[in-house]
Amino acid sequence: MTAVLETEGLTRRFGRLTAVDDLNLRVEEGDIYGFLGLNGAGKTTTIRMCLRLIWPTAGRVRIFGKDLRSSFISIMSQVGALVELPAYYPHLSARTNLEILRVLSPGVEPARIDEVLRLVGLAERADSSVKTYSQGMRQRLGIAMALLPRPRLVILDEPTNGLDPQGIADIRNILLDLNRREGVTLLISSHLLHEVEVTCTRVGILKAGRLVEQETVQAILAKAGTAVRIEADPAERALGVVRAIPFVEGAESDGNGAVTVRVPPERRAELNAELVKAGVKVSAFVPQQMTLENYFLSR
Amino acid sequence: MAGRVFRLTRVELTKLALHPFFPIALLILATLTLLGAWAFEPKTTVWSGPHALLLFALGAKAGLKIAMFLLVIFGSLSFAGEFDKGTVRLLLTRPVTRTELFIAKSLTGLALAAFYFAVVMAISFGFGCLRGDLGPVWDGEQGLILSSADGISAHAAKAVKMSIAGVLAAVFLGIAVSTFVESSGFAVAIALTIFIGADLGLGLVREEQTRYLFSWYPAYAFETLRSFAEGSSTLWRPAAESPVNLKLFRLPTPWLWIPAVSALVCSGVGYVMFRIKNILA
Repeated sequence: MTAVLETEGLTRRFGRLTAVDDLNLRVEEGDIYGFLGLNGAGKTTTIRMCLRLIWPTAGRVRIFGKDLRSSFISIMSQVGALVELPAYYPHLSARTNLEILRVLSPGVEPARIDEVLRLVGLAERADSSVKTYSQGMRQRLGIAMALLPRPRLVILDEPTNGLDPQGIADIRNILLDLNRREGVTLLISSHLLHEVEVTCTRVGILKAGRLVEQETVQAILAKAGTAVRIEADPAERALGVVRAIPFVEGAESDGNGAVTVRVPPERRAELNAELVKAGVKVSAFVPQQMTLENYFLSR
Repeated sequence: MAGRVFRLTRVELTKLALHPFFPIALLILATLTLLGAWAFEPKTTVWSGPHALLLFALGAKAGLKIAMFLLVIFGSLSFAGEFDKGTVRLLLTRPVTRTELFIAKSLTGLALAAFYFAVVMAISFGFGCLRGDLGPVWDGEQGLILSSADGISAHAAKAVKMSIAGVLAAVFLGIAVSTFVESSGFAVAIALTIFIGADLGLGLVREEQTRYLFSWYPAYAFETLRSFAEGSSTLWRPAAESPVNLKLFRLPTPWLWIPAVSALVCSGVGYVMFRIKNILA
């Protein structure tokens, strides 16, 4: 597969703080790449470096196989981006905001503005000034701006921020449609792990500025394996018992009397026996498929 | 590159024309220009009104001072306003370079300065022609011609020529400040403080040193024109218009090179700041 975006040893330091450390990211053509990490993990700094909004301390970025530094203009004519909160001129209408961007995007015809406004569901309010928009509408406008130049690569930082469930589903469908029908590659940073799980094909997990995982979603879920949700009395004792069992891969309490235990399926019966032997009363023992969220939190 | 600068400048001009402060600023400029000419208009005698170019000088002097304030404000908003709203990210994630954006913002600032200059000139000259008389400058009491029509017109042309560079330079002070202050409010406050502070500082230095500040020239030019139009025997100061001979080269007249050097220094500082800046807005 061809890499659409790759970073080599990308590093950014702010004084003594290393925000991004030796990052080797690889987004392949056709990917919907989920970029995950806790707040402050370095996601937005990485995205800003990939758009040359922040200068890296070391390393380089290649997009479409070209060096970002030397081929910035030709690369950026094929990239759409929404970085953090959507930015717009509040006293202007959505149409005028898009027109400003259209003028700066050679080859984009005026009709494209109506197209993206319809796509994100803003056609009816296209001529109202943006300051009268709700947060969700502003987010939709930000996405419309990213999609305006018919990009081959779209970089979206928290694209569903402030959207209601219907809005999230709409944006998910738009992005999936773009990816499937037009082959647009997407790099999406998000905290909504369920969204990432159902939307993305590949994820990268960033922790304290370092990339700790970069895999397809399927591979990660396979690696995450299955778990068992145990309701037991007393739950604290159950947690202590399961953590002491050597074949248990991980265990967390939900704080409401249930414990989620990662254990190979063939050893579930042994786990139950150990709990009973330890005098723990088990009232429920429910096998579960681990989600991306469970896996992310266990990293 | 030229095509991208052209597109960016077009976008900047559109944004400027649609900026909510733009019509307000224009109204303020027009009103205060008229007020400057009207409030100081000399009493009309039975057989002679004030000279049109005297009213023109009064209006232009007041109007250009206001125009420079407004240009410092608009200059301060040029980058700081984009940082404030985060829209600098929109611009810089399009296929344009920072250098091109800086050039486009500077060209837009210059266009605005030229527009304000033209507005002030048109309003004050229009008011002068409406309320005063063109022709020679008369001594009202003795009926003598103190300055011929051609003579006073030449002085007016010289005043206009002498003041334009100073007005154009004002916008670069705002632009320079706006590249390193990310809040538009702070940027305006800092740039205006520098501008007003420098202006007030003129009162503390010797008269000969005041000419080293670009904002001195428009006021000086129209104050001198006013004196001529009143029939005074004032002369243009050689220090304000004589070229300076240095060892290696000769500097043009101070009313040109002082604003030009000020604009170059401000735009140089602004460009470097913007070029190296990490966009965290």
